[in-house]
Amino acid sequence: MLIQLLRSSISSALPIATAALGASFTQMVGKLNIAVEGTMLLACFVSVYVADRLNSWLLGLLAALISSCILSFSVWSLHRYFHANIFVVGLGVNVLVSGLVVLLSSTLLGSKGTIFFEKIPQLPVLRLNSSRSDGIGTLVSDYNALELIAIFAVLLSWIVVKTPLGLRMKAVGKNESVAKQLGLNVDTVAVSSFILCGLYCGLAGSLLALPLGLFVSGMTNNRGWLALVAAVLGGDSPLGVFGVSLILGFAVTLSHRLQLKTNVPSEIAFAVPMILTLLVALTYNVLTKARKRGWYR
Amino acid sequence: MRSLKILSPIVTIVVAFGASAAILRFVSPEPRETLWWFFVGPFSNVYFFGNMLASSVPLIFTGLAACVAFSAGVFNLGLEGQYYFGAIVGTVAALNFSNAAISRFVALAVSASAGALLSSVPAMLKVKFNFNELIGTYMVGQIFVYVGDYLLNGPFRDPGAALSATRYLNESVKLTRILPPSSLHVGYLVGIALCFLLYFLYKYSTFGYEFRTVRGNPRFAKIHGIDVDKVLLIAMSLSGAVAALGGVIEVLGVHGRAVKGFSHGSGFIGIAASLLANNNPPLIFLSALFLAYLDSGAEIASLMVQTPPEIARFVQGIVLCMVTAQFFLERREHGADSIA
Repeated sequence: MLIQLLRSSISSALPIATAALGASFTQMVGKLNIAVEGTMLLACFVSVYVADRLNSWLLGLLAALISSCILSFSVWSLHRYFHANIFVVGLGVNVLVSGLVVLLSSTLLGSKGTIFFEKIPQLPVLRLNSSRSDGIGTLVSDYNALELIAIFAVLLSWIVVKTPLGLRMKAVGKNESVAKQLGLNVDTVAVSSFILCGLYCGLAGSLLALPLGLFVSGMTNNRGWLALVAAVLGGDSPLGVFGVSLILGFAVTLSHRLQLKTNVPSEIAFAVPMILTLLVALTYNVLTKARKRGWYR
Repeated sequence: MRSLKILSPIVTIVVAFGASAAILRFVSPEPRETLWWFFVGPFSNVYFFGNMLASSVPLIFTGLAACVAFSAGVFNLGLEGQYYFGAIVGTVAALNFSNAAISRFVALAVSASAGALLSSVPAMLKVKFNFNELIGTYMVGQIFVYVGDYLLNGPFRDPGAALSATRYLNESVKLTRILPPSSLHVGYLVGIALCFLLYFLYKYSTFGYEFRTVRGNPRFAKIHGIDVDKVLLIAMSLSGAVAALGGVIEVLGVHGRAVKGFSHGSGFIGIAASLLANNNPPLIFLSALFLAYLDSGAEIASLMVQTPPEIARFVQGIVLCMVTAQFFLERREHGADSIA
C-alpha cells in the first residue's frame, strides 16, 4: 500500500519536477519565468493533437518541445528588446494560452470539454519481469517511455549545472554587470536558459497529456505554479528542486487518494497539495533563517 | 520624448485589436458579423452598455487592490482568493440580519476584514521570516478559493438551489440599479470615488509619502525613520480589504447571492488593469473599462454569432504581455521591475 503510494507519487512528481527544473534554469540567470503553467498547457494540447494527426507519439513530443521553446523565447525577447516586465509577460502568457487552447480545441476539434484521442499510439512501457514482487520491484517497474525520458532529463539537469554553460548561468544570475565585464555574452546565456526552460516545460506538458491520450483545458491544474514553488525553494540546486517536487508529487497523490477513499470534501482535498507545500516551504524558510541567526548548527 | 511615451499604450491597444481581429477571422464562421458584434456590440444599446460598465466594477476594485500593494513595492498575487473568499464570508454574515442597512454594513465590514486577514498573513510571513510574498500570497489565496468552494457546496449551500450558491439576500439589501434594464449599480460610482480617494491619499497624505519612499528605496526609508515592516503590512492588508470589498459589492450589486466560481479570474485581470493604468489610481477605472469592453464584446459576439467567449482571455493575455513593453523608449525607471 505504502509502496504503491510512493510509486504513484513518483509518477505525479515527474511532470512537476521537469517543469520545476526548467523554471530553475531561468531562475539561475535571475529572471524566473512565470509562464510555466501556460507553456505546459500549450505543450499538452500540441503533443496530443500532433500525435493524433501524425500517428506518432515521438512527433507529438517533438512538436510540443518546439512550440514551448518558441513561447519561452518570445517571453524572453519581449523582456529583452522591449523592456517588458518579465513577471507580467509571464502572467499574460498564462492567461493567453488558457484562452488559446480552448479556441484551438473548439475550432480544430469541435469541442471545449474533455477530448479523447482514441487512435493515439500507445506509449511503450518498460516492464521488468523480475521474480521479485516485493517493494523494489513495484517501485522501479512500469515506467512509460516519456517517464524514462523525464528521469533522464532530471539527471541531465544535474550535469548541465556543472558544465561551463551552467556555471555561466549562475554567474549571470549572481551579478549581470560583472559577468558582462568578464567577457560573457549575457544574452546568449540568458537565451539558452530560456530555451532549456521551454524544452523542459514541453516535456512536462507531453508527460501529462500523451500517456492519457486526452485533453482538457484545465489539464495542468496548477501544476505549473507548484513547479514554480519547487524552483524557488530548491534554488540553484537541481537535487533540491527535485526533492521539493517529490514532496509535491506525494501531496498530489495524497489528494487523489483522499478524494477516492475517504469522505473528505473534494474541495478540501484539492487544497491539500497547496497547504502541504506552504507548510514545507515555511518550515524550510524558518529553519534557514534560524540557522543564519545561529540558533542551531 | 514625452509624447512618445504616450504612444506605447496605443501600440498595445492596436496590437490587441489586430490580434483579436485576426483570431476572430480564424475561429468564426462569419468573421464580419462577429467582428462587428465584438467591437461595436457593447455600444449598440443601453442594456449592453450598462452591463459593460457593470462588469468593469470588479476589475476596478481588484485593480485598485493590486495598485495599493504595488505602491508600497510589493506584489499581491492572492487577489483572487481575497476577492472570492471575502465576498462569500461577507454574504453569509449578512444573511443573518434582517435590517437592510445593518445587513449591508455587516457584509462590507466582514468581507473587508476577511480579505485583509488573508493578505496580512503572507505579509506577516514576509516581514518575520522573509518568506517570498509572491508565493505566500498566491498559495494562501488559492487555498482559500478552494475553501470558498467548499463553503458554498457544503455548509452554506441553499438546499433549494440547483447550483452551489448561498440563499438570496433580501431585495432591499441589494445596491440600487442606475441604468434600469442593465445590471449597472451604485457600486460603479463607489469604485470611481475610491479611485480618486486613493489617489489623493497617495499623493498628499503622510501615509502616501511613506508608501512612496518604501517603494522607491526600502533601505533609505529605514534610515529615514520609516517603519518599513509596518508600511508593508498596512499596504498588504489594505490591498486585501479592497479586493474583498470588490467581491462583496459584486454580490450585492449583481448576483444577490454568492455563487460558486463567480470570481472567474477577476483577481488576475485586476493586476492587468492596474499595470495598464501605470499604477495610477485615477486611470484604473478607465483601464478596467477597457478590459471589461473586451470581455463583454466577446460575450455579445458569442451570444449573437457562435464564437467561443474564451477569445476574451486570449486578447487580455496579449494586452498583459504588451502593457509593460516600451516601444519607443530606451529605458525608464519601473518600480515593479526590482521585484520580478
